[in-house]
Amino acid sequence: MSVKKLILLLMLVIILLMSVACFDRSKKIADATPDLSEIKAICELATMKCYYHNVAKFKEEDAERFLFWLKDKHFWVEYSGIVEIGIDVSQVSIDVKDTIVTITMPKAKVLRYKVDSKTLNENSFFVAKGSADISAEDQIKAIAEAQNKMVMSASTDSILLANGQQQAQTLLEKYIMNLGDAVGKQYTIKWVYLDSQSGEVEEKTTAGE
Amino acid sequence: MSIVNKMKKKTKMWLIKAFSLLILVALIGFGIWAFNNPGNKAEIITKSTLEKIVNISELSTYQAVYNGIGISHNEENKDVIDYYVAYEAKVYAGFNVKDVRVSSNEVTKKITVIIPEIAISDVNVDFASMEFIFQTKKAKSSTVSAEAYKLCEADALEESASKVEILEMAQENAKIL
Repeated sequence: MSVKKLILLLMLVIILLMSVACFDRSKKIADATPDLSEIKAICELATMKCYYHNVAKFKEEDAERFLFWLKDKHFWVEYSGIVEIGIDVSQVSIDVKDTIVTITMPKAKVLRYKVDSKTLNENSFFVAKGSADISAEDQIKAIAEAQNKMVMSASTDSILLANGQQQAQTLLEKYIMNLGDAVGKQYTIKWVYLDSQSGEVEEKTTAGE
Repeated sequence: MSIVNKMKKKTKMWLIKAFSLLILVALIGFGIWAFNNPGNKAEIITKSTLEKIVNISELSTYQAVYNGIGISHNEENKDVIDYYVAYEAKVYAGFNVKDVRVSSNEVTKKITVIIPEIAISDVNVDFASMEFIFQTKKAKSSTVSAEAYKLCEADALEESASKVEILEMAQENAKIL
C-alpha cells in the first residue's frame, strides 16, 4: 500500500471515530401507559391558601460554545405559586369528660404547594436578546428553584402558620359546638397544642356559649 | 529535477495537505464537543413575595400518586405529535368541612352527621418532575414548560375523574374520621 493511501485511510478512520464520539444516536421510545399508583388514606385539613408572586432569574455563562464563539443563556420567569397550610387531622385527638372536651392538635404546617397554572403562560418568560436557546430543562430548573424558595418562606413564617392553626381551631370548635347543640349540651373546650419538634405542649381553654 | 526528487516533493506536499486537513477536522470535532459540553453551572436567583391569603376549609381524606404522560398535538395538524411529557401528580379527594351538618333525633337518641359529597379537591402536578421527548423541533420553545404544565394538569384530572374507586375510598375514610 502506498504512503498516500495509508494516510488517506488513517484520516478516514480518525474522522469516523470523531463522528461517533461527538454525536449521540440513541433514541428514547415513549411508554404511553399511564399508571395510577400509591393510593393512600390521608387526613389533612387545609385552612389557608397562600398565593405567592415568584420571580426566577436564570443565567448560565458560556452555555453554548462553537470553537471560540460563546453564548450565554439568560432569561427570567414570573408567575404565582400556591401554598396550602393546615393540620394533619390524624394527629388530632378528642377526649370528652362530662362537658369538658380536650382537643389535642398538632401545629399547622405546609401541606402542599404548586404552580398556579392560570398565571404561567408564554408571557411569563422574558428571554434576553442574543441568548442561547432556552431548553425545557432550564425552564423547569428555574421554576423548581423558585418553588423551593417559596416553600422555605412559608415554612418559616411563624405568623402565617399561627393563623393557619387558628383557622383549624375555629373549625374544630364550631364542629364541637354543633354537636353540643344537637345533644343539648354546652361544652368547654380545652386545647392542647403539640409541637412535633420540641415535644412541648401548650394549653388553652375556650368556654362554650 | 530527477524523477525521485519529484516523487519526494509530491509526497511532501501530500503529507502537508493531509496533516492540515487532520488539524482542521480535530478543531471542528473539538468545537462540536465543546458545544455539547457546556462549562459553567447555571446561576438561579429567586424572589418570593406573599400576595394574598384565602381562608379555606378543605378536608382531604384520600391521596393518589399518579404518573402519567401528556401528549401535545400540533395545532395546525392534529395528527402530528409535538412532544410527550412525563410527569408525576398527586390527586386529592375530600370535602368542605363547612358543609358538614349535624342533626339529632330526640326520640331515637341518634345524632346524624351528614358529610357532603366527596369530590376531587385538588390535582397537584409536580412541576420539577416533568420530562420531555420532542418530536418536532418547533415545539422546543423557550416557553414550552408553561403549556406542558397545563396539559399535565388536564391529563391528570381527566384520568382521576374516571377512577371511581378514589372517590369511594375517600368516602369510606371520611366516615371513619
